[in-house]
Amino acid sequence: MGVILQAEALCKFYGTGTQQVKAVNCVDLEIMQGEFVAIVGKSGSGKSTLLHMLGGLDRPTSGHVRIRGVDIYRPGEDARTVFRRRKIGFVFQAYNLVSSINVWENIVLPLGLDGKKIDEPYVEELIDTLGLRERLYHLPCALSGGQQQRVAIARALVTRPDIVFADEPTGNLDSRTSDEVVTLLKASAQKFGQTLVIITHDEDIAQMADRTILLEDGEVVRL
Amino acid sequence: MGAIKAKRIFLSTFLFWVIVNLALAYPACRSYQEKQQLCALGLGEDPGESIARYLKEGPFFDGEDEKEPLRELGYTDTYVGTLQKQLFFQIFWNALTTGLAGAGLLFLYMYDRNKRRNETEASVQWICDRLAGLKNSMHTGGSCGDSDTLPEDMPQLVRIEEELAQLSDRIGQVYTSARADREETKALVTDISHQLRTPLTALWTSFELLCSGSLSPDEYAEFQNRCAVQMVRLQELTDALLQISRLETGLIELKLQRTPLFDTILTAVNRIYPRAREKEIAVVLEETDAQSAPLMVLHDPRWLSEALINILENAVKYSPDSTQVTITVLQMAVSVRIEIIDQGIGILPEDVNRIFRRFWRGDNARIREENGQGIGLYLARQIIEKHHGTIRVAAQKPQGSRFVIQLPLG
Repeated sequence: MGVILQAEALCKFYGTGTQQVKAVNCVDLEIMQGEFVAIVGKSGSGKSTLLHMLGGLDRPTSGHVRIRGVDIYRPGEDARTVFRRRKIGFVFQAYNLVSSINVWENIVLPLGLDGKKIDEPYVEELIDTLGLRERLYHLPCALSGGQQQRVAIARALVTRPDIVFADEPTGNLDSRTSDEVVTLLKASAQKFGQTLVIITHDEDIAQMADRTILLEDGEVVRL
Repeated sequence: MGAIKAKRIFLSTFLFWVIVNLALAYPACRSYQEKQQLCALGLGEDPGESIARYLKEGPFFDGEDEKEPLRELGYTDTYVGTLQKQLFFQIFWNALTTGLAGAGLLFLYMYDRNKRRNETEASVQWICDRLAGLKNSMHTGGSCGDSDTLPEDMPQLVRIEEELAQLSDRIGQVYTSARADREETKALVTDISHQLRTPLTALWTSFELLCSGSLSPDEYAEFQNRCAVQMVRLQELTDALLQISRLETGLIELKLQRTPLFDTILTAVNRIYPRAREKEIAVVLEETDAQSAPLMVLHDPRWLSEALINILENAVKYSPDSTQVTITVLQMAVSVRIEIIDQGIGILPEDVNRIFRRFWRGDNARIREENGQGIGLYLARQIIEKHHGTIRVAAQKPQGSRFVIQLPLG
């Protein structure tokens, strides 16, 4: 009840035999709707792999990922369909903005790709929440790191996703801007009723989450 | 709307067909008339002149004169009749094809309308099912799940499906939070009873001793004093609990106003100032990038100052005499960052995640000797989160702690 995302015995192994690397080893976790969860671990602890599997970007070696009870990797199910239907937003460390189009175009890009109409009031509110009003017609290269990440957040939220995954969203930012970006992610998710899953190696960031999941060598140490 | 459009298309196509047929029939009719006239002229009294006139002035259809020679030669019903038959046949043929085409189109139209009606019925059925599922999920509190029954060939339903899924999410969320609130209230009642028990027991013991009457005057004064201490503690505890319960049970909604943040901070500083002065602790307020206009932030001044008071009280309480508490305010792009830095006992790394828990207090002897309920920071976090903000704590070098509060500007 209220569980939006569930991983069951989730594994990802690379290689075979003695060469085998267990990137994610038998992870079970549940994320409640509207929760802000931080997945914390050192680099190489498998947190990115875990996030990619949770978000439908990478097929697990074994185990299940259920979004609202539906297994996204079940045979015959195209994970991308679920993606489109259930709507998942992604924020990456490297922002991944399209450099040749302006901020506004970057924000509404996912809508265009999906052939959806633009929900003007919502997009406007998003732009104001993220303080991008004055930068709308700038190209990404004219923005600071923090600004670029705010554009990326707007782009992730524009489709009104149920779950927002952020993979080291503050990796390239200084500590003050990091605090701000996380606060904004949290505020937006709270405001629009979204579930937020953040990956970070930064304990300071993790403190702001409702719950922390600590990952070590591909296993959950503390829930 | 689709049906009306289809109807229009069918009707206009049919009309177009009729007009094209008429347009084709008209010149055919004319050419037969001309052929008939030419024949008549050729057989007439003065064919040369008549034909010359015909060629010069074009056809003239002025009645029976031209037909007379034809009739005289016995051509009444043969050639002319054949011409007329051809003409009628063509018109008949045109009418037939038009009729057939019309019937075909009508059939297609009916078929389409029927299909549409069936689709609509299926859609309505599907929507009803989904709504029923939604209603059930409201009773059970679960989400109604993903629908696997989405009709394959009805892309317009995907939109509805998405909206319904979102609605169901929302309902689930409301339900979950209501449940969480209830659980929270239960836990709160338990916690409160435990917290009240300790001072109450101490008070009771002292009171019994006082009543026994076997005490020396010194002891008497001592236990009286203990009673007073416990009563103060009870008083503080009930005050704090009252605040928690008001905030937690949602009895208090934040009244968000766009007012100067500085005033709110000042209110908080004024409240802890007497205590700070006792310990000769300097409270320094730094506003970086001092702007001409005061920094306006959407917040509830009363509750936010309460949160700041709680943090500042701790800072003063756990700092040695003659130190400094610094408050810095920094405006970021779309948020404001408040830092409260003290030179007190600091915080252990392993306690960082526990410090904001309700009724949590550090194990440090220095902490234990101060009076406290473990409510202040918990309450501060609750208030700040209600503002959609965040709070975190870090150890400050060489000693002390640093609380970082982030609030969205609005």
